Amino acid sequence: MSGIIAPKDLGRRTERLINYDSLPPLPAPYDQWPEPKFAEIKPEWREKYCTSLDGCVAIDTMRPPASDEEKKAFVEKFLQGLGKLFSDANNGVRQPLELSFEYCAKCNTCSEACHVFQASGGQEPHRPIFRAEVLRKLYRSHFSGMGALRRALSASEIDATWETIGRLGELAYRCNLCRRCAQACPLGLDNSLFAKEIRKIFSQEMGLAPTPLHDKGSMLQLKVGSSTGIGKAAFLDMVEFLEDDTGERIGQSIKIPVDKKGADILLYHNAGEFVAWPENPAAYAILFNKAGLDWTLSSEVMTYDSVNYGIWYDDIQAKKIALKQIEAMKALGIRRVVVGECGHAHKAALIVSDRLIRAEERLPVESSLPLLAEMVTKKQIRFDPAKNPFPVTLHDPCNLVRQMGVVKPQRDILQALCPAFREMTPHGVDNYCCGGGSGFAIMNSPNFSSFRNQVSGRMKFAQILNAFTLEMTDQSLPKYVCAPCSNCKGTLREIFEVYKATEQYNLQYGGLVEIMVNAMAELKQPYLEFLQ
Amino acid sequence: MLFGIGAYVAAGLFLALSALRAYRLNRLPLHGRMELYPAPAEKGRKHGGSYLEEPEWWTKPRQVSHMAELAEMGGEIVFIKRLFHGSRSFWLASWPFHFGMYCLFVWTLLLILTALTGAGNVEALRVLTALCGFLGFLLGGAGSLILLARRLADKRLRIYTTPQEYLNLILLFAAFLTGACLWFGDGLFSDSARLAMRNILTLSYTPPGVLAAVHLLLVYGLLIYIPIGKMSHYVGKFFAYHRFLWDNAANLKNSGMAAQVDRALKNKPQTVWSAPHANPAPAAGQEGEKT
Repeated sequence: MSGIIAPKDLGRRTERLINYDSLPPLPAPYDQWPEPKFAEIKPEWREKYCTSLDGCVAIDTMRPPASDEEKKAFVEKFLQGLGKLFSDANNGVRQPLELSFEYCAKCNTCSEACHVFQASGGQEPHRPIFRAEVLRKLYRSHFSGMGALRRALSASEIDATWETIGRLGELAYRCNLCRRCAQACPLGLDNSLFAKEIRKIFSQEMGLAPTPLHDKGSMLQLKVGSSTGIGKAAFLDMVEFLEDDTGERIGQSIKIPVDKKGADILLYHNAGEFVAWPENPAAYAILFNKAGLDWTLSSEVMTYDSVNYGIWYDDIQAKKIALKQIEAMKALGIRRVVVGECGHAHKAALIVSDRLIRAEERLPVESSLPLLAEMVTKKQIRFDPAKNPFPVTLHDPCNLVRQMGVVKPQRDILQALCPAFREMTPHGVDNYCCGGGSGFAIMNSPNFSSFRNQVSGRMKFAQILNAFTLEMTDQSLPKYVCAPCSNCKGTLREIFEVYKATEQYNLQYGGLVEIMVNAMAELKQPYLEFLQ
Repeated sequence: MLFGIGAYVAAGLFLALSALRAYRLNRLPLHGRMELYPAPAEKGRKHGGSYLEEPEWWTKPRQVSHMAELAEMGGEIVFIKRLFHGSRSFWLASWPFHFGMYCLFVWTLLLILTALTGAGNVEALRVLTALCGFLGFLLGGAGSLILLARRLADKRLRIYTTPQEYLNLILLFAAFLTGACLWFGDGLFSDSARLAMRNILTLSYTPPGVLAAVHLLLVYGLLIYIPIGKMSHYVGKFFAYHRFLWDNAANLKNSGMAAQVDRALKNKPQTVWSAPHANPAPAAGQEGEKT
């Protein structure tokens, strides 16, 4: 499609509204590489999904309506949900939503801040105000007293058709909810909120959400206790395996306490770590034991998996999970909860759930990063920075940094333990999202991973390449991206694979605790696998 | 006399409607935490950190700097810092426009002061009044014109601009332009304006010509119109920053926030969402869950 796509064009009858055929170039050495091919739409997908936004599919449960009646019902259901956004059904968001809805001056400062808009080559629908403006026009056309007059008088109003609404649903999943746009807004408004609210209408009113987030995510967690599907017996098996495997690896036995009554700390991991990166919970165990902390894991349902996918798309699911987690934690007899390296779990447990329940009914929750920093700054453990001589940079997970203000502890650790540490540009609260935020990290099929790896993750990949400009082509030298967040690690893993960055340039990624354990003076062998 | 009454009505409505808007925003329900960093009140954390960087943060007293928050807000109001850093070309139009408005606000206060006290002969006040008027009309007029021209010339801005947003800028530019033409003459934004202000305040003002009548009608109209539309962001901005982006008060036992949360939890919503998982069929003897 040629020309600038305006909000009213969202319903235009065309096979595809956006093409990613001219993405901005990546820094060296990838400026010499051809861009990997985008996953193409299979013809049958057009019958099964809404593929007409950009050829990628996020909401794999959204079937195109087959008849005019179905189309009408689809649109009416959406409009019904749109009305509820401004009702008491949405009390927890109404003030920020109404402010952002009312006051946007359309100065486009947010566009300069948005990594997806920039990385897409400035594709208009990815401009943060685009989906906000669509929603604003739809609301004013259908809910304001002047709506009929507006529709009659203004050619710039938007027709509420299946094409418009279906694409709007998909477009809501092209924003990482990193909120960098809100940080830049001179009026303090949050355009990412509209993406989240559209997702909520689709899920809470229309029952449509990506399968990895809903059916295989929050619903599975509410059913069995973990979005990994792991039950109590399997969890205990994994911990036992981890003790044996880690003991063998570091040459000394380690004990991972589980269900220890009266422990001071419940260490709360994203259960995906046990499956994908077991070296992370193992490193926590080594450090917590060495620092003499009184801690435990829990094998009870809802307390061995800290994730809460609801915070990305559905407030009801978020609330159900948070309340069940809080209730289950209280039964453990522990004093405080310490969250492991998972950004969204941090936000869910410390921020989102903070006002869901009376203060008296909660246990105190904190991030593990300040505790880890104390191990270094107070010399609770003996480290040898010479064991980490390779270049290291730090990715700041948006949830943990921009949205919680946990910025310094991880830097204190890396500056002390990694002589070749360098920051990305920009960093800290001004960081860019990894590209996997708000659920993208776990959304792969049918072809959503192409968008994540090549568009939403593009700015982060460019930042990483720029952080290692001088060393990038030295294959013998590992370059480590420290990402203290499960979803961010998952995203980096995929990006590195698509661009063959580990294979070609020895670009590595991992968590914070792994590099801490690698620097422990008493360990004879390197802990990081790529050094072994 | 009518123009005198009109001034009191317009100013009164401006204040009342602005207060009403603030009241409406203030009474919206307590929202979940959605803070963003840097939050300037976090004392000693210029890197953008928060109290959550402390181990066992809930056991430690909060270190808050209201002065830092005021300074940040002041910088944002006077200088529009975020726009300066995020979109320099837009700032070059928006800042003069806003600064011009501030100058005119001060100009109006000075005119009222000097008209009521007879201090109009004090040279320093005369010069200050003239300077504020001159800068106000010049910067405000130029800023609004550039903002309007930018929206018309840039297709990417044009597709998002509504007729109402054009109207806002046209009305403002018209008010600046007519004001500049009217007050530039005798006394350079000072003497004739002060005399007019005294007559307006004492309900004895009669516009000397069409220009004056049009200008005052525009100003009165804007005073009533601004608080009812999106130009009332001078109210919204306070809530956006203080009640949204920088509101990181934790729900701790015996805290003010705990009391607010307790009150909010008592309000059960009547509207329910329709998806099956959102409102499951009630079990026998139980109500379905409302969110």
